[in-house]
Amino acid sequence: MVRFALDAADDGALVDKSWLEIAANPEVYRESGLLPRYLKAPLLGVWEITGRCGLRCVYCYNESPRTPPDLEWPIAERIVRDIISMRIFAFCISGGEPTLHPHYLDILRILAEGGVAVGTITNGWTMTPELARLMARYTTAAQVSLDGPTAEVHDLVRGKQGSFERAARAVRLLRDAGAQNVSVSFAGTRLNVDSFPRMPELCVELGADKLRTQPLSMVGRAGAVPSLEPTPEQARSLKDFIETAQGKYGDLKIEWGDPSAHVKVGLGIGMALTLRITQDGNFGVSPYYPIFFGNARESRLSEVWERGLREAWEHEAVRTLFAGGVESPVLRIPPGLEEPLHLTCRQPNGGDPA
Amino acid sequence: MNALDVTDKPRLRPLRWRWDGEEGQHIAVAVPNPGGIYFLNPSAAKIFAACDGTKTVAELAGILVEAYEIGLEQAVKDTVKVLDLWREMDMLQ
Repeated sequence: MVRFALDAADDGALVDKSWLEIAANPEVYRESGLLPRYLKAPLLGVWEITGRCGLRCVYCYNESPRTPPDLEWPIAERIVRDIISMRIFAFCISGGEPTLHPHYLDILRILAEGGVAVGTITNGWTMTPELARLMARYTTAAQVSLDGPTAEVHDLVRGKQGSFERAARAVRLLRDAGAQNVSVSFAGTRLNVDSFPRMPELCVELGADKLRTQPLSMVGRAGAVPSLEPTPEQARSLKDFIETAQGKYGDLKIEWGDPSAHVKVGLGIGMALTLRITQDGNFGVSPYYPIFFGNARESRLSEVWERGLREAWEHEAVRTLFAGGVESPVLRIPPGLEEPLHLTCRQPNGGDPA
Repeated sequence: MNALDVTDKPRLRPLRWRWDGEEGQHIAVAVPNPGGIYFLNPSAAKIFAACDGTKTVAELAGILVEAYEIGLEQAVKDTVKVLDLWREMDMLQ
């Protein structure tokens, strides 16, 4: 969670607000000097280091497995160095299935040794005791995707027989290796969302610290299959269950996310807080929407940030896309974003964005 | 937890932080408790950056007096309030 400010203001009041609260009334906080126009670097980021994946989930937001080649290692390594030198606080290493990347552990290690809090997301298929041991050493959070309490449900959604057993084993191996903040994520589609109430018991049995879910984002593969979206009744039941389940399963935290929050915050305050790097090197402002401001094969992350990514939500094209607001809580592709949007940043000499 | 005294010399724990904002006067800092990244405005940032264990609370308040032309009494009150919060958040040794 990103919170906003500590401040000894004129009246001695301490300001402690979430970004969403700030975004609802940004002028007040900007005028009082609490809110800058932009950040020197993102606070957090997610990097889809590979498009390779052994599974084929029916809803995958970035449609993995994907065929474009991953970034060449010298370019990927340069990104790692930029993340460290820009003093980005935390980065999530994702995919595809990130453990399939030949330099997966190098990326975790270099970031961790550089002081970055590293999280990672895996489907668990490749997990071994040795991999779990190294992930535990380098990460501060590890998430395994588990889309059902049984093999019948999970394997159907994830498109591969045996994936439930591998994912459940991965959670256990991470726990046994002493990994911090082991969480299970559940993507609720119309096919599996009714099984969610059986997930907390499974998570407790596996030893997970947290169970996380959120409304299904109707982007990527899910965007092409509208019938995957839970019915309104299913969505309501899920939310009701989560509200009443808190504290009933020992220390297990049950978290309900809002995938639209980053858009609401971005449009409210104008500046970017987070960063997405795709498998083929695009630098984006949203983990779900394909809005990009440059590519690692052409420019360094630090340059792209300074040339405009840091104020991406102020870009006229982005404002136009979301002129009608953002659909919430279920994300959908707005008109005009059917294809990825590649926006031009200011030129190094300070010209205006194209 | 004892109340802070003006003669105390607060020192930050090792934290990951950076100067931030377009003029480099804000500070973004990862806090241990409750976790997450907090953003300090320029006046809080001035105090934060000076919490190196060599300056008393009164001297830290003096930084605010000099920068913002406010009275010492108000500055001490504000400084103690923000330091107390940082102590609760395990940001101070």
